[in-house]
Amino acid sequence: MDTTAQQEFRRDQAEPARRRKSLRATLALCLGGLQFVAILSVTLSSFVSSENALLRQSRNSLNEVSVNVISQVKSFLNPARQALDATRRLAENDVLDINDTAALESHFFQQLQVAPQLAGIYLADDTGRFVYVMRSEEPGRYRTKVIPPFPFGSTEHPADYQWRNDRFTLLETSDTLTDTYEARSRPWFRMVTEAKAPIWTQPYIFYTTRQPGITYGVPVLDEAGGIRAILGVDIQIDALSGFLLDIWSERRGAALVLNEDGAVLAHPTLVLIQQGADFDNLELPRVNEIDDPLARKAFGTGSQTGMAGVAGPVHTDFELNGQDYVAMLIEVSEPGLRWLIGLYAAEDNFIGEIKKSRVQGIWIAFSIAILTGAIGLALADRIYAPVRSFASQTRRVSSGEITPEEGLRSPYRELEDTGAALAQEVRQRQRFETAYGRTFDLASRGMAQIAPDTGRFLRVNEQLCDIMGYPPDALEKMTLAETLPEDGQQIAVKFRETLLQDSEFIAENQFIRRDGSTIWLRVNAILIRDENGVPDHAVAIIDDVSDRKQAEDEASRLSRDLSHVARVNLMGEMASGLAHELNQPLSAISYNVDAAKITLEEIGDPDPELTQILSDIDRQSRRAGDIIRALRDVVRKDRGRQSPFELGGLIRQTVILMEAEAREHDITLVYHKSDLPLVTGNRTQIAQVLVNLLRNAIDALTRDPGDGGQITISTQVTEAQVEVRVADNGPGVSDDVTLFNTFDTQKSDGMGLGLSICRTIVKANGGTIWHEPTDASGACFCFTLHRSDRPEEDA
Amino acid sequence: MTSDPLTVFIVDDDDDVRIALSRSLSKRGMQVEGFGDAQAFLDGVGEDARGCLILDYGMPGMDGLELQDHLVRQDSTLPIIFVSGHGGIPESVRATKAGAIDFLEKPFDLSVLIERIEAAMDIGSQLRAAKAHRQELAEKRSLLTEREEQVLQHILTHPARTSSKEIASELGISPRTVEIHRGRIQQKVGVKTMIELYELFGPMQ
Repeated sequence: MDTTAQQEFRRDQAEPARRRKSLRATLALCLGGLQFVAILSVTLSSFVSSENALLRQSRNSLNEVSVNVISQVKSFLNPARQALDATRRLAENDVLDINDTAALESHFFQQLQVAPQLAGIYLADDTGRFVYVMRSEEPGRYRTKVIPPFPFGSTEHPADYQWRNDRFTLLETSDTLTDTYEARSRPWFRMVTEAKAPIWTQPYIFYTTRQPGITYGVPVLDEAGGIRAILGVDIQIDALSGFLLDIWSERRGAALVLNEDGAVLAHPTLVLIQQGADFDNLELPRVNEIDDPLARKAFGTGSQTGMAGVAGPVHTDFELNGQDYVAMLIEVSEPGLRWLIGLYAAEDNFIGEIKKSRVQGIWIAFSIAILTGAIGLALADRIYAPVRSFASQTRRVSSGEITPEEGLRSPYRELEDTGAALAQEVRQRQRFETAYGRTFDLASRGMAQIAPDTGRFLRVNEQLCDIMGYPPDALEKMTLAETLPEDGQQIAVKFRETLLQDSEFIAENQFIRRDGSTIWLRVNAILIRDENGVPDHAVAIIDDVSDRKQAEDEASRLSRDLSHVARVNLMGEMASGLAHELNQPLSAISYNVDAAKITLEEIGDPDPELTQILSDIDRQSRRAGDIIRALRDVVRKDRGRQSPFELGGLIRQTVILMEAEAREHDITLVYHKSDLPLVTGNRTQIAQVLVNLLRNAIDALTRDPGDGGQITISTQVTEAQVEVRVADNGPGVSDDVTLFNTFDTQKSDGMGLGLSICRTIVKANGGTIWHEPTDASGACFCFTLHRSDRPEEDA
Repeated sequence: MTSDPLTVFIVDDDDDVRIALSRSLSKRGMQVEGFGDAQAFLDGVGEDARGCLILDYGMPGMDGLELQDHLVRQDSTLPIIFVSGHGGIPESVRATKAGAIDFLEKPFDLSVLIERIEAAMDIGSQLRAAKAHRQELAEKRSLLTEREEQVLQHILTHPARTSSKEIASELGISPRTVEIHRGRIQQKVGVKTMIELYELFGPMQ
């Protein structure tokens, strides 16, 4: 087997891989994926939006806390200020005599009792007088300190102390001469003196209680506007820290109260403020100094640069140790006072739950996605099931296992519609295949499906089996090559090569039948490819052309015979013509010799030598005559034996022989076939007559070419004879030619023997030949042959 | 009847052949007359020519067979010897059927021809004698009247019914009249019995 063709075939089979998606997988993927994406997007969007909402919420919470703290701070500061402002007004209106120390003490005592945040309240003037009521521990709850006026600058001066209980009952007194307190040098005194208006001091650690506090100072003015005295109140703000601790205890965060310098006034962890404070340093620690990393982180940066400029709430976020925090800074608006409330809190305080629920949500979403994915798969399977069933039905219908009516049902209308269309298609195809099969089986010609690569018969019809002489099942196990003779194997190779080039295969060759006899078959095949272009099978139409081949063989045999007969006839006719032409002079010689001999005798005493010469001449002339006669006799004897034969077949074969020559000159040969009886004669000689007449007609038509040259051969049967007419539509016979005469011709290159031979032959076969003038142009030659009553003998 | 010598007529289109043959035959003491074609022979030779004719079979114009046919229709007494350059059996058969005494194929031995000529001369004289006899009878018959000829016709065509009565009923005349006519016929033709009359005219029918 030819390897090139094989490879080619394999390559044809190798189909480019095509990506095909399973409907089921697609459905499942789409359903599950869609579900997943939907859940995820809903979850995430709610997640994001809730986070944003909660961040807002956290800020709101911080705001709320800050408001709370602010109000608390104010509630701390306002009573003190109101108390002091009221005292001032009393003093300025002389309702309260500020020079009356007892009244002052009583008044201050009442004020302290009303406002628990007040640590102490006092009055000082520029004489150095100082009246001070403050809270105490032992021996009484309240202690009064009175310093009488003393000169500014003295280091020591006397002072009286009185301790009272809640009911203002004097419990104990004490005095000292070495008191060192100088009110006039205190910051609040200096600030009020300078401002002549109420002031708040910087917060600081109270010397006595070691608690953070702040002092509010107001001047008591006289009518002229001069300062009569200065009232002050110490507000202990440690309780603020306690409050901060209270309101923030459960949160991971803190609220701070800062002043504008960044000093921490209140912190949930009070000790943080108190730490570092001693008698030398009563200042409050700054926020970036306290032991609160969160506070430092949240507000430290601001405190370094100062808190000035902070008015409305300022929100910041920060992260410490992997924890997110939110922070806020807001001003406390109090006349003469600029405090800031700082708040920070872990983000989790607000969105921790959310975060937790978010993780939970993701897990839930994931679970739901898996669940719904599984449901989607199941659903896809349910959706796909009819499709799968439909596909299986389609396969079975297509393979013919079931009829379209039985299958191709589906709950889906679209599929059912498709099914209906498919069913129709299948029915049509089945009809076609049935028709094809019937055509195949009932064809009058041999048909076969043949594997193009191996040449194996895949399917054969009865006619082919008849032709080949094999039963179908035997033939279908064979290959084309096996039916070919050994010297015809190249046909099988050519078959494969031609078909794989998608060319039509046409060949006539001898094949071997089952009984070993040879048969001429004409094989005509084309290649059928399947829908993917892969060679599937070849369809071959196979005809038995043995008869035609035989006819062609007979025609060619006739042609061979004819050429022999033509030679013989030509020679015979020439001999005959020569004999006539030569006989005349030979006769003359013979007569003259005879006359000469007589003349010689008349002279008397003839010369014997001369007599001998004349006798020799006479003998030689006779010899020449004998040679010619012998030649003519030889030719005559070769006229062949006559026997009955079928004239119609002979005419057909002659036409076959001459058709090519006629076609060459665009001449049509027409033979009106009719049933002819057997005629007697020499078959080959009669063929020669036909050939000569046809050739004459062709020559005539070619000499004078016109449109549609045509030669018509017709026959007519009479009682004893059959008449054959060869008519052409050429120029006809010219007048100056004697037809049938030897050496007389109309042709430029002819010998003038054709018709002469025809005449000789027809005469020898007992018939006559003549030219029949016709009305139309052209020549018409006729000859007759005797009918034969004897059956045709086998040659 | 006459002392005219018998003549050998030669008709052949080939001058050389004709002249050679004429010369050869003349040398043998024969009277020879040659013609180049059939028409010249017909023009130059009368119907009463005596001797024989050596005729070439194939000639242009009127060919040998046609000339033979012509002479037969003229009731010629010239026996014909055909000679042919390419004569075949069919030609010789046709010629012989039409009365030719021989058909020679060229080239032939001259002695054979001379032999044939001598034979032909004898045949010719017989033919001439027969012809003369026929002419004599015809002359005698021409003397008969119309009615006598009718009676003779009846006798010749109905040899079994020759009684006067039968002839009379046939011709619608009286038997007596038939007797008279019969007597006249015998007198004119010169026979004595009805048998003689029949033998004389019978073959001519």
